[in-house]
Amino acid sequence: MAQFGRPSTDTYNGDGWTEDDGTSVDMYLEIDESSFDDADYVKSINAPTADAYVTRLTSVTDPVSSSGHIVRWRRRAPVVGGASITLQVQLRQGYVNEGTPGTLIAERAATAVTDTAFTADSITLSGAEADAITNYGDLFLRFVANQP
Amino acid sequence: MATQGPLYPGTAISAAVHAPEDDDAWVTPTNVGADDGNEATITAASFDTPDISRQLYASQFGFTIPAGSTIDGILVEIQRRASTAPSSASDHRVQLTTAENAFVGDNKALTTTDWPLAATTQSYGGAADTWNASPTVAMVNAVGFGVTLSAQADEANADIQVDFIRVTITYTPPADNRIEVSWAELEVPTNRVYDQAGFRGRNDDGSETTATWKAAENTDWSQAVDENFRFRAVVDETALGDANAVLDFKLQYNLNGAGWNDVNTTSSVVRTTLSPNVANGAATTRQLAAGTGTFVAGSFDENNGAASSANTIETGELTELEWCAQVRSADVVNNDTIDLRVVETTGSIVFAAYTQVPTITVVEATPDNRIEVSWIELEVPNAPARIEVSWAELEVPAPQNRIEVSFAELETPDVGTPSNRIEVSWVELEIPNAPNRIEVSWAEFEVDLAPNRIEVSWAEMEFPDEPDNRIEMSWAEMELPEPPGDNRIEVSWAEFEFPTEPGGAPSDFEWVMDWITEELVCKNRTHDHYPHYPKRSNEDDRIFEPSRPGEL
Repeated sequence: MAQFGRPSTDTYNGDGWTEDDGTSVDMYLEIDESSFDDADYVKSINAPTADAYVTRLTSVTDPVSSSGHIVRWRRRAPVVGGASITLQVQLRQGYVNEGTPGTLIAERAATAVTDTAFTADSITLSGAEADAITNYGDLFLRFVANQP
Repeated sequence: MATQGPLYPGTAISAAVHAPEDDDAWVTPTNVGADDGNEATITAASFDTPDISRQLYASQFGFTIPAGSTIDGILVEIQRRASTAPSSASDHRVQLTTAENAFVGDNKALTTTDWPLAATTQSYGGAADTWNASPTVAMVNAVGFGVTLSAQADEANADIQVDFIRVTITYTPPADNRIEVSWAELEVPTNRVYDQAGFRGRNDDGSETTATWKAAENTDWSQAVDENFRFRAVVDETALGDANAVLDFKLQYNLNGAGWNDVNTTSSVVRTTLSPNVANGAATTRQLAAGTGTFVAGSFDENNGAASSANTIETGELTELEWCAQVRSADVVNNDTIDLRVVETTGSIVFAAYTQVPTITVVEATPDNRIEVSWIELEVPNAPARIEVSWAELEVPAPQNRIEVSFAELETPDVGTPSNRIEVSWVELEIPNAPNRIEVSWAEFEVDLAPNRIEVSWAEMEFPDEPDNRIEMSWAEMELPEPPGDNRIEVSWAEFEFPTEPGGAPSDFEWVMDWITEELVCKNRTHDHYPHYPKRSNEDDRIFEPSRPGEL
C-alpha cells in the first residue's frame, strides 16, 4: 500500500499566489485532498513572472526503494487574456526559502499549459532521483508560474 | 467574452410621480422579479389614453462583473401584455437606470409597438449594445443599477401586465493569464517492515527438527567457546508494505555492545561452522512460536552467514532462519556478551524492529594449570631418612611456562653424622620461548660441624639471546672457620667469566683473588702472568681491553 505526502503548510508565498477566492491563508488546504477536488484551488497572479508557491509535504516513511515515486498534480490555465502561461513543478528536499531552496530532486520543466479545464499531470521519479531523497520528512513541492 | 445573466431584479417599485409618468401606479411591482406568471399590473379604470404610467423601476440585479472587465452589451427582456384590447398600450420608457428616475443611455422604448394580448417577451439592446450608456463594471454591479419601464395607454381603461424584467450583460473580462492548481501529492511506496520477532539457541546435536535447545524460546544462554551452537530466528513482516520484499538475510553479532559485524566463515568473535547434523541450505520448518502470519520456509546456513527464505517475505508472512556457528576463543574472554541479529543481506538493511535479540554469555574453557606429581616417596625407617621427588612439573600450558624440579632430596643423615643438609641436584626456571633460565646444578647448605659452610658448586645466569653473555660462578664457599668467633666469610675462589668478548673472540684473561696480597688480579691464561693491580671496586669490567693486558 502506497503512502502519500500531501501539502501540509504554506512554506513560501511571496509572489502573490492566492486561493480561488482571493485569500491566501492556509492555501495548502485547497490542494491537499486525498481525492482531487477541482472546486477549490490555488492560483498565481495574473501575468506571473516566475512567481513561486511552495508547500511542504507531509512526512512519509523511507521506503528504501528506488521505484514507485510519483508526483501528481492537476492544473489549468484559463488564459483569459490569451497569453501563454508556463508551469514548472519541482520536488525539493530541505527547502528553506527562495534563497536557500534545498536540493532539487525532480522537476517538470516549465511547460505551457493550454488546458482551460483542470488536467492531471505527473512526474515519475527515476531511480537516481528517488535515491537522492535522504529525508522523506523534509520534502516540498514548488510551483512556478510564468508568462514568457 | 463572457456573460452574466439573465438575472432578475431583487426588487422593483412603482416610482413616485415624475411627470409625465404620473398616472396610475403599478400594483405588485415586485412580481417582475421572476418568470413565474405573477405580474405587476395597472388595471385601474382611470388609465386611459394618453395617460402614461408611473415608472416601474426594477433594480438589485446582483451582477458581479469582474473588475477590469469591459461591458460589451446589455440585453433587457421584458415579458408584458395588454389585456383589454389590441393596441391598448405601448412603451413609453425602457431605459437603463442607476437610481429612481436617474437614467443613463438610450431610451429603447418601442413607442409604436402595441403590447400584445398574450404575454410576450420583448428584447431591448443586446450583446453588443451598450445603450450609449458607457456602462462600467461599477455601474452594472451597483445595487441601484436597473431598468425603468413605463407605458402609455392607447385607449380608455387600458389594462397592462408585466410578468418579468431581466437583464443579461455581455462583457470582456480583464486579461487573466494565470495558472491554477487544484491538487497535488507525492506517492511513495511503503517499505516492507521486518521484525526479529523471536529466537532460540540450540545445540548442534541433531537435525533441523530434533536438535535440542539451549534454553526456552526468547531466552538468553551461556555459550562455550570453540563449540558448535545454532541460532534460530523468526523474521516477521509486520506492515502493509508494497516494496522491497526480502528474500535474503544474514547474521550479525555485537560483542560487548561495540557494534554490529557480519558473521561469515572468516569473521572474528562469531564464525559460521560446518554442522555434522544439517546440510547447508536445508529448508526450515516452523519450530518457534513467535510472530504471526503465514509461515514461509527459510533455510539453514553453516557456510557464509547468509540464509534465505523460499520466497520473499510478503505482508502477513514470516520465516525461520537458522545458523550454525562458534564463538572463537581467540577473540573473546570469559563473560563477554554477544548479541545476535538478522539483517537484510542487500545493503545490510537493519530491520524496523527487533522485538527479540539474544544475548549470549561467553564461557571460556578452564585453563590447564595443573600440578603433576609423577612419583613421591616418603621413606623414613632406615638411614638415610629422606624424601625424594624424582620429577615435578608446574605447567601453565599456553605459554608453557613451567617450573621443573628433576630431583630433590631432603636428607636427614644418620644420627651422629651431623651432615644435616638439603641437597637440590638441579633446578630450572625456564621461559620456553627463549631459554632464559637460572640453573643451580648443586647446592648444599650444611651446618653443625666445621667447616660450617655453604657451598655452591656452580651457578649460571644465562641470557641466551645474546652471544653467550653469562655470569658463571663455578664454585663458592662461605665458611665459618675454626675457632668459633672468627666469623667471617671467605671466598676461596671466584670466577667471573665472559667466555666471549662482545666481538666474539675468546677472552684470554680472568680475574682471580691473590690471597697473599689480598688483591684482585687479572691473569693471562696463556702466559701464566700475574701482574698485580690494586682492586678498584667501582671499575667496570667491560673496560678491560685484551689488547692492553693488565690495565683496567
